[in-house]
Amino acid sequence: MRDSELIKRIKQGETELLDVLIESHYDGIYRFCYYKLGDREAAYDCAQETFLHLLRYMDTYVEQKRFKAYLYRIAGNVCMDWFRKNSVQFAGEELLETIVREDSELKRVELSDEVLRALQVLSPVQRDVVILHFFYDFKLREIAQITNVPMSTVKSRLKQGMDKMKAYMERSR
Amino acid sequence: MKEERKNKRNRRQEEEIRAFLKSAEQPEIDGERKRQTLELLRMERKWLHIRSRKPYIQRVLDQTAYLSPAVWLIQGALVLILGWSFCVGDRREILINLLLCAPIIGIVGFTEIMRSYRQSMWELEQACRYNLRQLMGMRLLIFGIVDSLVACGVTVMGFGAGIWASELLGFFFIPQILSDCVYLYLMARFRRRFQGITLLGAAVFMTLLWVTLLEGIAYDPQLRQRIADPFILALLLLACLGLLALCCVRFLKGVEAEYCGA
Repeated sequence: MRDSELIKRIKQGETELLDVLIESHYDGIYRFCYYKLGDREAAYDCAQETFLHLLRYMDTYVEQKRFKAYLYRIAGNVCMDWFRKNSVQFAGEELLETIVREDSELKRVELSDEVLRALQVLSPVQRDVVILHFFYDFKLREIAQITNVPMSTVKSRLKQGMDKMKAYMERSR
Repeated sequence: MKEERKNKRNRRQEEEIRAFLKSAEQPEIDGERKRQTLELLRMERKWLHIRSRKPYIQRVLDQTAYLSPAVWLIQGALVLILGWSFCVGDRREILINLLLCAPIIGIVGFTEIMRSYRQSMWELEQACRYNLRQLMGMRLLIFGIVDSLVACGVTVMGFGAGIWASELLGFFFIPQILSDCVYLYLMARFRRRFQGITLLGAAVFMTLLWVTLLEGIAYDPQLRQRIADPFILALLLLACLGLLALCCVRFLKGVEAEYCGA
């Protein structure tokens, strides 16, 4: 059953279908949080918080066939809150330098860890755009809706993110 | 050429990054953690009470049930009077009747809207779900639709009686819309202090004003000819409709401001 159909029936009172809706999006949301935060425990917590938010605000959600974008927007906001609460400082360029210097250590890390490290080089806003574009294949227009910024900003964030990723990939080779 | 090369390079770069990111194994999800989370969400979901959302048209139709039957009776009576006038009156009488009825049509609706507003007893069960601005907006919409239907009826009857479109515009539509604008202005200005007597006073004033204007125009053939120009009348109508929309927005904003405690 498609999301829009599920939501229509949930709104008509079949709230048990929320379980189906949540289960179908759980993995995607968990991975999104994980890529964003780089921390498994935090990703579990944020995924749970995202769905709790969804339950809380389901009443006010107006179906416009953009449920996925709506859900990822909540997840993005929850992750930002997590960053704020945990005062995680964006490492950015400093982290990039550290990673390159620790060349020998880098060779030991697994491939997925390497991707994760590469993502940590980006600022949180750039990471959002890169994750949504490359992992989830969202269109730029949809990313603009999720991140609540104009298309031009999404484009520039994607460009900056790609440049940083490229620099990281070249230095780590 | 240069642009094409740049695009090609960007695409290649994008593909490289995509391949790099996609090469990573997807993070594994602990089945037990997932089950626990889903269980917690299932428990939370049981407390959830989703209110079904009514479509706007349904909400508007619900509002009609709270409007006094007198409103519909008076509106109907006005249409009947006009219809009777179209059947038995001569051209001059028809036009005068149209002009006299134009401000009255507005009074009926606005009196009803102000009743709920002034007495602060907008139907409680509805106020629990919608704010006053929405309620007032819906009621304005209802009366707008009803007035439009009345206007359609008048137009059909007028054409049947041989009245020209320009006469209908000049003697009925424009006075009616401008009268509505004045009522809305007064409602926004006086808010809850606005009494039915003020509305009636305004209606009498508007009627006298229209009759005086008509007299003035009747004695000035040049002015009459200029105003009777369909282009001028159409422009006047558009301007009046714009003004009416502006007055509606201003009134609703005033209601919202009061609702928010301003």
